[in-house]
Order: sequence, then structure tokens, then C-alpha cells
Amino acid sequence: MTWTWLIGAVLFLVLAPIAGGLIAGIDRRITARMQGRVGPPLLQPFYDVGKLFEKESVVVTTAQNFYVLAYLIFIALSGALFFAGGDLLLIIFAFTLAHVFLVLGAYAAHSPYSHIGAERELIQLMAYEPMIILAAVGLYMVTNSFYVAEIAVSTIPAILYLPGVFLGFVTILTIKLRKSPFDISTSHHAHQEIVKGITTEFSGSTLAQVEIAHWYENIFLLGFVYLFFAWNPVIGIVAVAVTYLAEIFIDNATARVRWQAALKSGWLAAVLGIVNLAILAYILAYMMTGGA
Amino acid sequence: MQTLLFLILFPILVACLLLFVKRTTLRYAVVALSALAIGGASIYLLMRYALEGAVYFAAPSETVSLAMVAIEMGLALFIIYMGAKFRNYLAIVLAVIQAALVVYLEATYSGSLHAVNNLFIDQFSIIMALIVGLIGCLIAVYAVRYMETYHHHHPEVRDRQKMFFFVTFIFLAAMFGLVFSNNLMWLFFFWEITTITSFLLIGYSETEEATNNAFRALVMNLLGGVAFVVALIILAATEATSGGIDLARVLASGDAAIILLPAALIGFAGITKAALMPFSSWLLGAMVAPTPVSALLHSSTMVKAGVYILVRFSPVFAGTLAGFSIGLVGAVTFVVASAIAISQNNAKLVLAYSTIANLGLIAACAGVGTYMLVWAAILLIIFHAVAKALLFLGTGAIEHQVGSRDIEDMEGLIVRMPRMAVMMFIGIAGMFLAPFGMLISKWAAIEAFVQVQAPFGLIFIALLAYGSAITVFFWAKWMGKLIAVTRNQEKVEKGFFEEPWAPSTSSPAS
Repeated sequence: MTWTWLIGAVLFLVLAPIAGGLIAGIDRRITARMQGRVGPPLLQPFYDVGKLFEKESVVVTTAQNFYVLAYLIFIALSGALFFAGGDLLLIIFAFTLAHVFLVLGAYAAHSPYSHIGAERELIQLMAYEPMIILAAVGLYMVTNSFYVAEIAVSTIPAILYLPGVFLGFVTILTIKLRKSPFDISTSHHAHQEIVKGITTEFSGSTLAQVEIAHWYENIFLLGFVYLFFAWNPVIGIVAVAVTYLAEIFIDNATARVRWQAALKSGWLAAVLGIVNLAILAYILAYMMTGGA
Repeated sequence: MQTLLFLILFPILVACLLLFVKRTTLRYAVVALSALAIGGASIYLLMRYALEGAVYFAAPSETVSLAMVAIEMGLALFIIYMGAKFRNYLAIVLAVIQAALVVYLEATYSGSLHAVNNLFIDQFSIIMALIVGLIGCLIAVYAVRYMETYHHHHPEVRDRQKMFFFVTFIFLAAMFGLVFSNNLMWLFFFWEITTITSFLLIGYSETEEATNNAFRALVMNLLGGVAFVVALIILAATEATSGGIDLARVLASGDAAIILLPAALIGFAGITKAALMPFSSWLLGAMVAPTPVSALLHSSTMVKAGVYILVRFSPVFAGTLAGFSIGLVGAVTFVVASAIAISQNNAKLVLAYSTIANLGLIAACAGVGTYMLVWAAILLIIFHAVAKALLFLGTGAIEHQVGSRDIEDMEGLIVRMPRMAVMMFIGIAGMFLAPFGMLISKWAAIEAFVQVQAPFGLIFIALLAYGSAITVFFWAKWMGKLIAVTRNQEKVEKGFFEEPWAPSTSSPAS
């Protein structure tokens, strides 16, 4: 029993980049089909990252390598904590810390492009942070625990109690997956007008690390989605797949918005979450007094 | 008990001695040695009493109490004189009201103004004493050389350094007295001393702006002082059930209906002193003072006295509407002050708003007052004191070197002043990042708020979630400016570190 948490963490560290890369490959295929193209091979993301590692190392300042490495490590760490069944709030804080490192890496380069990207990344961070904390609090209110290990084995269908929180979470998931309309700091599409935003000044193996961190991040976030459906693993996996497909669809069906709209959306999502939690609090209080 | 008396009386002695010291080198020696003694005594306090729980001391009462009332009257006269001199009649009115209430209290309830134990110490007092004794003293040491340079940069300001250091050490003594007093009359006395000392320090430069801001601080704190005396009168009048002016008896009193009103009044006094909204403007105005004063007010004294009293009375507040209201004032302050901090470029203003925000968070924890939240509040007090002292002292040093306190001008500081930039980086990290303290405190606060009865807990969590997202933005942006690796910039730190007031030797980080 004491070993299971370690197994979860190790499995995540080993398998998440593979799964994340595959999901990225599937994502690109589906996106291509939606746009009427054939799309790249399934393993293209791996080829891309492999090629990045072979490139000659050219950096603006060596300091940025350190920040990007810290970003990768802390993303992997927060994901590992998650799959080890750790405290959700702690995981969220480690996750935030990771992104602060990415932002610092972009600031260190001292280029106007990456600075604008860094500021936009911070705005995104500010937009999604309230909602992600509220999601953790919502799961706590339903399952009475902040620990992923306990939330994951809970027999209560959390999604039925937390539809508003889930909708809010899906909204900020769009921000986190760097999907349109909220891909303001950097984007997988070619429509990014400030070159590549926060990643402009990263190249070679540094850029590859950012990419791998993003794979880790996506698996962690999909794991978070799963928690809402954890009472039934089959429904849970289907829900995760449907959520991701919906994100791809939204990504291709919407145009990018300004940062103000992204911030507003993130914070309105959190308001939705708060309303949901307030209603839930009354229901829970009623059940406690009415049931007795 | 000797250690407690030493910590209260020794700084007064040093203060008097500093009135006669003119040369900077000698002053430096006196201040540094006293800081060593005071810091050592605070650490001894920790080792001696850390595991003992609350310990009470009788301490002489009658003559000391009389002397305190006499000094209070003297201070009232001083305020009236200053008020008349600078035509601030509101200050005069408040000082007169307060003095009249104190006289009324002494005359009418002289029989009830007795506490079995005048002094006490518990773990929270020890923590506060360490903050005052270590951080406060280090700021005083830093101030010696800073003030020398300050007068070099500002020849127009009259050199009143003897008064400056006298007041600084009285301030420290008053803080020690405040956190050791079990007699609420004593506590109130020290409370008023901090009001006067901060008034004198803020007005140090004697410019019109400084004088105005000093009076603003005075008026707001006197307002809280009046509320405090009214609370004392109520407590004295209901001595039989409320416990009178004996802090331990008041907190242990089961009669919630009677002690809630005085507790709320004292809570109001705490809100004014802790500069929560709408009383935050005095702390922002205090920025005109030399930087060590800001560091002192923000990190280890003054505002910490405000949150100290809130945390002290949190058992009374827990689960009441009054406590919830205080908490809500704090939580709203946290969000609003953080939001304002985003739009600021002036480093000292960002620090000031962030102080107000964090004091709000502490008040939110103390107002709701569950066991876990009180500990979250105490953790916030500790980590905030350390990080904020470092940041203020760093900003002051950078300003003297770069000639600007604008955050935009700190861009690329890592190239120009690498060691200074690292200090600032550590300070900022302490304010919002894992694994440093503030984040742990926020984590503890969220975990504690979810257990508070709905919907109260939820309101606090929502405010905390938004507020903390905002703080991440402005801190990370500042951090990013510091570490930007700029080209064609010269390193200007070499000469800087040869200057004797360099914070690497006197800041809390060293």
C-alpha cells in the first residue's frame, strides 16, 4: 500500500511524455482533417522534438536554460505528485511555480517579443488560477479530501454535484492546453502575430524541453478532468476523450481573442464555479440537517 | 521575567544614550552592540520559554501604572501642541477626547483597574518578540549608515538623527511592551507610544508632504486609540464577568455577549493600526519617510501591532458576526490592494500595497479565528516580516545607487547589481512562491477556510483565490524585470558594496 504512490509517480514520469506526444500527434491529425488536410504522421511530434535536440545550441543568454529546465522539472514534479495521489492544493502551487519559471526564462532573454509573451503568459496565469483553486475546493466539498488518492477512489459522482465547476474548469483548460481562442501567449497555429510569443527566444534543446513539459502538463490536466468522473473509470476515460475532442473542435472553430477577453473569460468561469459551490454548500447543509 | 523587563527597558536606555551620540561611527557601534544584545535576549527568550506555554508574571503595578497615565497625559499635551503648531485641529480634538476618556476611566473605575499579572509570555509573544528583536534591530543597524547617506543626498533636510534613533529605539521598546502586556491598560499605553513614534518618524523630513502624512497617520491611529479606551471602559465597568483589564481573564471569560463589544472595538483599533481599508492611506503616505522607517513600519513594528491584537482576540471573534466582519474587511482589502499594486510602477508603492494586502489576509484569518487559521495568520506574520524587510532595505539601497525606485528602471539589475538582484529575488520569492513561507501560509489558509461553516468559508476562499492570482502577476513581473539579461550595461555594484551601509551585512538575509 505504501508503495502504490511511488508506482503512480514513476509511471507518470516514464509514460506521460509518450502518452502526451501521442495525444499531440492525434491532435494534429484531427486538426488537419478538420481543416481539410491530410496531416502529419502520428509520431510527428516525437520526430520534431528529436530533431530539436540534435540542433546546435544557440541561446540568447545561458540563464534561460536554467529557468526552462526548472519549468520542466516542476511540471513533471506537480504531475508526479498528482499521480502519486498527493494534496491537490500543493500540486496546484507547484504547477503555478513551474509556469513562473517559464515566464522568468522568457524575461531573461530580454527581447520585446518574449517579454510580451511573458506578460501574456502571466495574464493567462492570473486568468486560470482562481478557477483551478476553486475546482480543488469543489472536489474537496464533494469527497471531503484534498488528496487525489482519496478523490480518485470516491464513489460519489462528483460531476453531478459540480457541473458549473466542471464547465469553468473546461474553460480554463482551453487556456492551459494553449488552444484557441485563448492561445494568447504562444500557439501551435501559425496565426500568432508576435512570432511565437513566450517561446520566441527558445530554440534547440531548450525548446524541446518546453515541448516535453507541455506533454507532461497535458496528461496532468486530463488526469484532473478524470477526477470529476472518477466514480466510474469507463465513463471517466470516455469523458476525458470527449473533453479533449471538444477542445480540439473549439481550437479550430474560434478565432483568437484579446488578452482582456481571455482574462474576463477565466474570471467569469471562476464566478460560475463559485455559484456552483455556493448552491452545493446549501444542498450539503440541507442534507445534513434534513437527513438527520 | 528579567528577560522581559530587559527587552522593554534596555531599548529605552539605548534610546536615551543615542540622544547624546553625534558621530556616525560611534552611533553605529552603539546601535550594533545594542542590536546584538536585544537580538540575543530575544533568542534567549525563545530557548527559555518556547516549550512552557503561557507564563504569567506579577510585575510591579501601582507606581508604574501611574507613571504610564502621566506619560499618556504628557503625550496628549504634545499632540495638542503639534496640532496647534500645524493647525491640525482634528488631531487635537481626538487627543482631547482620548485623554478625557482615560481620565474618566481612571477616576471612575480605579478599583477595577487591576490585573493579577501585568506581564506574560506565550509562544505567539515569543514569535512577535523575535520579529521585533531580530528584524527590527537589523533595520536599526541598517538605518545608521542609510541616514548618513540620506542626509548626503538631501542636504535640505534638517539633520535630526539623534531624535531619529531615539524614537526608533523607543518604538522597539514599545513593541516589546505591547506583546508582553497582560494588563490591557499597559497594552494600551504601549499602543499609544507606537502611534506617537510613527508620527515622529513619518514626519522626519519636515516637508509639507511629510508633515501632512504624519498627521494623517496620527489621526487615523488616534481614532483607533479612542475605540481602544472605550473598550477599556466597558471592560472595567463589567469587570465581574468580563475579567476587566486582565487580558487572560478576558479571553477566558465565557460571557461572550459582554466581551464581544469591547473586543470588536479593539478589533477596530487593530484595523486602523494594521492599515486595512479604508484606513490604508496612512501607510501609503508613510512612504515619504526615509526607507528604514518604511521597512520598520511595514515589517516588524506598527502594522504588526495591529494584526497582533487581532490574532490575540481571535478566540473571542471566532464564529461571531463581528469576527466575520473583521475577516471580510481583511479579505476585501487583500483583493483590492493586490489589484491596485498591479498598476503601480513605484517599487515602494508596490511593496506598500502588498503589505496592506497581506495584512488583510492576516486579518481575514484572525477574524474567522479557527485554530488552524490562527496559525496560518501567525505564519503569514513571520514570513511577511522577513520578506518585506529585505525588500524595503533592498529597494532603498538600489534607489541610492540607481537613482530611481521605479520598477522599470530595475530592468536588468542582474547585470548591473547581481548580488543586490539576487537579494531582491529571494525577497520576492518569499512573498509568493513555493517553497517559501507565504505560499505555505496561503495553502494552510485555504485548507482551513474550507472547514469553516458555509457560506462564510466559501466567500473567503473565492476572495483568496482571486487575490492570490493577482499577486502572482505583479511579483512575477517584477522578478522578470530583475533577471532580464540586458546588453551593454555596466556593472555598478563594485563601488556599491564598498559603501558601508550595504544591506548584505545588515539585512535579514545575511
